Amino acid sequence: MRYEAPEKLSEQRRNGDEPRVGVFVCHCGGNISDIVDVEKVVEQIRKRSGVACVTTHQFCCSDPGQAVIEQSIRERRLNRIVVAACSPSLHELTFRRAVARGGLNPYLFEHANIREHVSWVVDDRKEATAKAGRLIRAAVARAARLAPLEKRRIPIHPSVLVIGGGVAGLTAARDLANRGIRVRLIESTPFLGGRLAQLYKIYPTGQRARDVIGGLIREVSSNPLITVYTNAELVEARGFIGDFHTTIRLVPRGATERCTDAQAAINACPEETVDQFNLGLARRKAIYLPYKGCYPSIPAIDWRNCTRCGACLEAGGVGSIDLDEKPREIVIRSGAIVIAVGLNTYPPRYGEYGFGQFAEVITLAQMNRLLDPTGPTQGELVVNGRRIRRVGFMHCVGSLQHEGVHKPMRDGRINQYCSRVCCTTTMHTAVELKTRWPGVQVYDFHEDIRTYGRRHEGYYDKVCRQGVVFLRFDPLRPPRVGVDPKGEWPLVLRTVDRLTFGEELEVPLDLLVLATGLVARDMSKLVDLYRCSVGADRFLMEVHPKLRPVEMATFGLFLAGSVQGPMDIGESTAAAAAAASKAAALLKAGQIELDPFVAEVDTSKCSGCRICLQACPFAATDRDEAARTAKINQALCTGCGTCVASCPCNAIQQRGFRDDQVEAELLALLEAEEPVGV
Amino acid sequence: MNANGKLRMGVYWASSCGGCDISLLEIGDKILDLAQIADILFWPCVADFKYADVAGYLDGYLDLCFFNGGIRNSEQEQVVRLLRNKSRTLIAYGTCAADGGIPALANLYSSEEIFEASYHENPSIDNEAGVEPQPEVETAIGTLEIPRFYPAVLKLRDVVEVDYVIPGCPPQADDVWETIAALASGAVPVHAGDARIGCNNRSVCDECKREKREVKIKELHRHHEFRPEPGWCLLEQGLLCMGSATRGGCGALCPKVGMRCEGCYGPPPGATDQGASIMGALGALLDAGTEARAQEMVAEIADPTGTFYRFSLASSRLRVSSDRGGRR
Repeated sequence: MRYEAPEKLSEQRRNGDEPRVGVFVCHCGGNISDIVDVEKVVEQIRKRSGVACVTTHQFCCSDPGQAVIEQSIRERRLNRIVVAACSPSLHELTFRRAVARGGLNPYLFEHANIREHVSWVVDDRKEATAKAGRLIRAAVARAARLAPLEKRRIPIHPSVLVIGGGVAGLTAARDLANRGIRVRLIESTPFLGGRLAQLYKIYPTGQRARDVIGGLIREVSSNPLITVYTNAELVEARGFIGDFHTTIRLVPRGATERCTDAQAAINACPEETVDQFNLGLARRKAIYLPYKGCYPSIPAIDWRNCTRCGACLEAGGVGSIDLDEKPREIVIRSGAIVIAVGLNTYPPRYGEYGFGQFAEVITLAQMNRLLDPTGPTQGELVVNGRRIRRVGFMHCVGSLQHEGVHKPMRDGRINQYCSRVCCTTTMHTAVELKTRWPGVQVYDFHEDIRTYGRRHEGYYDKVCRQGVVFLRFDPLRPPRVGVDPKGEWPLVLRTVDRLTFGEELEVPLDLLVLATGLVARDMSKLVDLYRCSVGADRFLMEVHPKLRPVEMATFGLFLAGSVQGPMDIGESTAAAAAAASKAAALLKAGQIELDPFVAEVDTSKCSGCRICLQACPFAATDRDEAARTAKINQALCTGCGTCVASCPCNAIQQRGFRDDQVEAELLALLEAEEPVGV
Repeated sequence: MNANGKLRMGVYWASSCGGCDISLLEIGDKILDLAQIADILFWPCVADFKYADVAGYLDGYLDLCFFNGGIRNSEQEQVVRLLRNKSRTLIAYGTCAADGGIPALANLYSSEEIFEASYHENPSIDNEAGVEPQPEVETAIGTLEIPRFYPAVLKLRDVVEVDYVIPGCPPQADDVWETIAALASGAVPVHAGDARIGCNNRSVCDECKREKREVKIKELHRHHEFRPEPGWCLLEQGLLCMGSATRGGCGALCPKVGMRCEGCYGPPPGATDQGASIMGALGALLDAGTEARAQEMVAEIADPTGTFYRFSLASSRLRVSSDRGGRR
């Protein structure tokens, strides 16, 4: 079998680049040498071709240890360095720097891990010595073929695009602008505020949600560094860290800034439709403002329900409404992107705890609208024309689902996770109920209660004192909702209570509130445009949940808030603030340095089959139409190697991980115990 | 070269189907031109030549030798070594000589398994006595020998040095004639260290006119159950077309008429293992979504070795393990 590896090496030799590998074996103060027979390893390695010298040191990473490396490079004309020591995650950078100080390109260095991979895990001295020898000769074989590499330096466009105008997006935009950074915020609906604007009061402060979001919106809208685009849809995304080009389509609002008498225009509209802002509990006109004090304060036309009759135009006055404006597309350039598109509440299926069958079964979000004095009932506790006296709360609707018990969602998956905010929201809502209407009887049906957050447990204590009745059901035998046979109450809930050791109970109610969980939005367009990684729970994935919690695998993309999973408002804003500071740190550097290990196309071998274009998870592969070959964007490439493996013509190679380098390493690793030369 | 200024040419077949010999005739009326520029000194398929004739030539006497087929037994090895000595330019002609070809698929089985199938199991076998060929048999007239059967099919360059390789099952007539003409005129060197000739330096995709829509494969299909949409890449439609992992030169003959490329020109330049090449590509192309679906899709591939390594098993990294390897 012909391997390319020896050819490359002979080519290298012809170019006068005869490898002179210097090997430095570290004792690590006994950490390695107590188990590995370092002297024996040295003897073995010394015999291998290409090795110019083998040196040992008590601590290679120490200043004297590094000095030995630097000095040897100069004195023995070494041109490749191998250090056999601890894990590269600990000291690879240390030794690369030492190699650079010695006058070599820092990428002419190879690290062999003989501590974590050998002395700390192998007990037998003979085995450990053999394994260390194997790893070092593999490193030598690879090192002999290394080529000098340069880091990539990419300039950063000094602005950020924030996608999403809810609490997380607004927070990120404000924080970035407060650092003097230009921000463009896009929101898909006509109004800012997101889900927070629909809430009544928020825990744990008890503030009115609208005051909180209103303050934040004022900060954002009054900051000259922030431009807000509402009714903005994502169309296309190009570019990479430092220079993203995002195309958005701006759907006309209908009403213009000259619309001074919005209410007259709204009143004149003959078309009525379901009021989404009030979650179907009220109706609104086709031209509307969702709530008093919303931003922008100019009404918007809901084009799906507008008949373009022109009634609003007459009532609103000259120039107030433009029914003929066409959507336009603009391109937003930015150095980084913050994704803050939020989430959805779980939509209960028809018949799930009577939802849809009975008007008296509503969601917790709808309950929030009912409690709001500016809401559809002006804050009166009236449902279906009936004043409410007995309320039940049902926990975990759409969360903590069980295989075989719950029907899967459309993608075939059930929601096994805890939605985290519903328990405290339920307790908080029960407190509000009992405080405003002490005579209302409240029942709480749960499988489990998790009021885990700081200052959240207080709500639980409080409802206990306020006389809320808790009933615990078996998740495998959830409560059933039916009609009252006596006709006295609209609903009867039948359940087996585990707190009273299996007592079967019938609880008559005139309102059942489903504490619906939180689910990811349909983000397929976003995921497709930015090649986001998506978790099994359908939320977007960060690089590392603990160490890099707001960064995405694609450089320059940051996650803010509940696009990442169920979060309460405090957690969302904390995540948004983190995303903002990460993005700001990136921008302030002006440029970034990236590892040089990118893939590159040998256009003489590329047949233009476009397979790599589909392989790349980061959209870094592109096509050179003129040459009919592939090309790779150096800034977008993360060096994952997927395209390298996918290329059927081997036309793509990854710098630092060329086939000949990896093959030489593997062959040396697998060769028989008696070494036969590199 | 002969005194009449003509090339001295030889043709031989080893472990192959015979199609390569016929493909030489496919050059059509150029056969008359061939007669103008070359004298055939050895071609057992078309005329009566003896090995002894060849053995009597001086070394390097033949200018040009087209050798088709891989090496399956000791006779074939003996002849190829002889022809190597007697030929100035030895050409591994056709895919069997180049990469083992279809006969090399037998490398998945031991000699015992092959004999079991060939002499006992196959339904058309009538062998009541259970006889198997023996390399040596004692008879009244002495010891009779037949060639020894090797445990694996070897490609030509596993046995001898080869000057050129013309891939294809069979090679395309136009390319064959061009190659002969180029060698006759001295346009190319007589030795080229097994360089491929009569083909392209890119994959079949490069010459295939079908449109790539950059969509992933939702479902795999086979020809008998699926009519592909004209003009659209067959692989993207779910047919396991080998074009992307196959050296071009045929003009994308099969994809042109709606058939998947079977990979007869072997791996493209730069790639060493055709099956690994296409499998790497499929990893990027299959739209499986879940692990279970991925396993399901892979399980749908009927005869993966025969699909991915149909023509190139002998040049792949799938080596015959050492207990079976090499020549006996």
